[in-house]
Amino acid sequence: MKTNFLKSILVSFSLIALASCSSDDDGEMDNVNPGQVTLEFDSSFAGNELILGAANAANTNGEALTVTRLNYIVSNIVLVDEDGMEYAYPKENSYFIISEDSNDALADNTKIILEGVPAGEYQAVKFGIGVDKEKYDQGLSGAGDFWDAASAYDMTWSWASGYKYVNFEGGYTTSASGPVGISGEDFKVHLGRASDEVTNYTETTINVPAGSAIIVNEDMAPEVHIITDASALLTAREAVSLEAYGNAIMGGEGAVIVAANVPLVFKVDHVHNNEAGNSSH
Amino acid sequence: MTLLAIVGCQNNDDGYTNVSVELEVPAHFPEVTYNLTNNPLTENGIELGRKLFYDGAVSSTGTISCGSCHEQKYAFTHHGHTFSHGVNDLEGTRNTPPVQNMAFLENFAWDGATGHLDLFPVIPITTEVEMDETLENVIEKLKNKSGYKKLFAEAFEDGEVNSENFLLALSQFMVTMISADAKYDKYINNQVQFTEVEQQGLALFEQKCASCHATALFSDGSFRNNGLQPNPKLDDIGRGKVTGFVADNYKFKVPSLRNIAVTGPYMHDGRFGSLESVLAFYNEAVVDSETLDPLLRNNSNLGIATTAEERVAIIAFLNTLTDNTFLKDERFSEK
Ligand code: HEC
Ligand code: HEC
Repeated sequence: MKTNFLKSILVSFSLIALASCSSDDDGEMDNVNPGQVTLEFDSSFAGNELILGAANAANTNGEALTVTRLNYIVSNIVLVDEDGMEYAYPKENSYFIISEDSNDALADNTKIILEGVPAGEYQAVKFGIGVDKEKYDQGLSGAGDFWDAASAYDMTWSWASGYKYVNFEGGYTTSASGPVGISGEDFKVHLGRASDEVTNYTETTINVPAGSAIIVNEDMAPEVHIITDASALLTAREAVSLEAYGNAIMGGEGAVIVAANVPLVFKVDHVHNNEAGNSSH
Repeated sequence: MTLLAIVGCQNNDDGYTNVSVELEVPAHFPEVTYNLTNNPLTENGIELGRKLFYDGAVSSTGTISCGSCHEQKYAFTHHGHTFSHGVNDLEGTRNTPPVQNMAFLENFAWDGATGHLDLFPVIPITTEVEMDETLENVIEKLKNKSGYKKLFAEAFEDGEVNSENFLLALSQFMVTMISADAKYDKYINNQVQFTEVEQQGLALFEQKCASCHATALFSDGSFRNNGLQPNPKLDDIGRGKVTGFVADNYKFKVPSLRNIAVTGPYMHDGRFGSLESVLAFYNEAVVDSETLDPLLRNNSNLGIATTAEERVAIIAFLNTLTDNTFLKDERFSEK
């Protein structure tokens, strides 16, 4: 009369997990000769290297930013090959924090290493920025250490519980407020879920430069160098002025505009098709 | 009335048995929103959640537990306190809502600060005026406190004392806290009859209140501005603070009215001491503003008009929502 309720749930979970890496007739791939792929995120500012704590030239809003923190969550990574076939990295392991932070206590996090990627020649990388509704609705189950890690990198809210998808901070000056430098006003751009209707979660697909594929097999360990243009967060699609939003964009219309800019700030700069065991930069 | 049914059990290598529990949902309630497949209820999980709910180790001073503000006999509210007192007696700015029927809600806190019950406890734990702690610290403290290692091991498959299991256990406990055995419920189930005045109150309630205070939960879960004059000292803009949209300013979650007779003071800032004052407010003191709910604006008449006699009847009806079984249920008590 007693059924083994809990165990049967756990068993069915693991069956689902197994099933998701063995289908081949529905557009997914066989996982033969899998290899490792590294995504390296390198921040820039309008074409220049992003140097934390150093002033940048004014943007189209006439605001000159000095960035002290650029942290964001990269999730739901998918690799797309030349035929448009997609390999989705297992969702439960597909949440990462990328961080460049002036706070020395926080180690920079700029690399994502994907293991067990099926052999193939991939032309594009697709990923989310933030935490999708499906994951949010799972609450803490399956979160493992991700919540704690996010909290350590100031990627969680405390007053409105949930994840920050992007935490972009620093100072800025305008021509009216005086010389460019770290002085001026502090700014904070924190992007996250506003409500079930306005989730601010976005996805982007970035192609590799023409002629260079990401070549994956058991002998190769390619590295994909992705450039994240911090400046474009405030300008890519629609310019958003920090001053107009009182130096803080944490929700409302401002966050919606930033969220629409987010998918446009990334591009693949180049790919190193390294042999496994070697790495180059 | 039993809400929990035992449907199975799980034997662990260490020889303990963790019994699965199925949530029994009252027939007249809406659907459960909490995802029980992700966090299946077990006897040990619920019991661990109960222990954590009453453990002061969760606050920085070691003295304030969830149960300090959410007291059972007042349907898990902080009775008599306009604002809740946390560590070092610091005062918050919101009135403590009841913790009941959490399994059915979409959003939590007066402003819907979070959409998932698992994430909710992070707010009181880390808020300075409440428990002023960090989750990491709480977990460290629990690891070093006798008994918890064993309790976590018995409650969860991976047995870890970590933030995931800590929050899942609290959710399991809160999910079981269902209040559905008031006189009203017995009336719905044809077990008792209403008096004439209760009957009259129910009819008035359905006509004047139930568009917002809807379903067997007495809330439609939406955010609305019911016309309270903002308290200039606090200027709490409610939902607008969470979403950042001006159109959400001064909107608050429509609260459940279950156990309303024992959960005073009333409203998000606890400004009203009695149900009479609440009804007098709806009758004559609703203030117009850009976000005032359209239901409370009929041409130039604001609010909900009631006669003195109607107010007596409505309150008689509201008193039928008190659930003494829930207020005394030992499964939810500190013990
Ligand atoms: C200092 C008093 C205090 C303590 C301690 C406290 N709470 Fe609360 N609780 C509140 C207040 C005040 C609110 C309303 C918050 C708001 O709307 O901003 C609340 C809201 C809630 C809600 C949402 C209810 C609803 O209807 O949306 C839940 C669930 C809850 N608390 C659970 C807990 C748990 C679990 C703990 C322990 C980890 C806890 N509380 C500790 C005062 C407290
Ligand atoms: C337009 C929607 C709406 C209508 C109609 C409405 N209410 Fe409310 N009610 C609310 C909202 C929203 C709140 C919370 C307001 C706040 O705290 O800012 C509330 C709060 C209350 C509270 C306080 C509950 C608590 O836990 O503090 C009581 C009691 C109440 N309403 C009773 C009534 C009664 C009785 C009626 C009918 C005469 C009624 N309401 C009609 C939306 C409504």
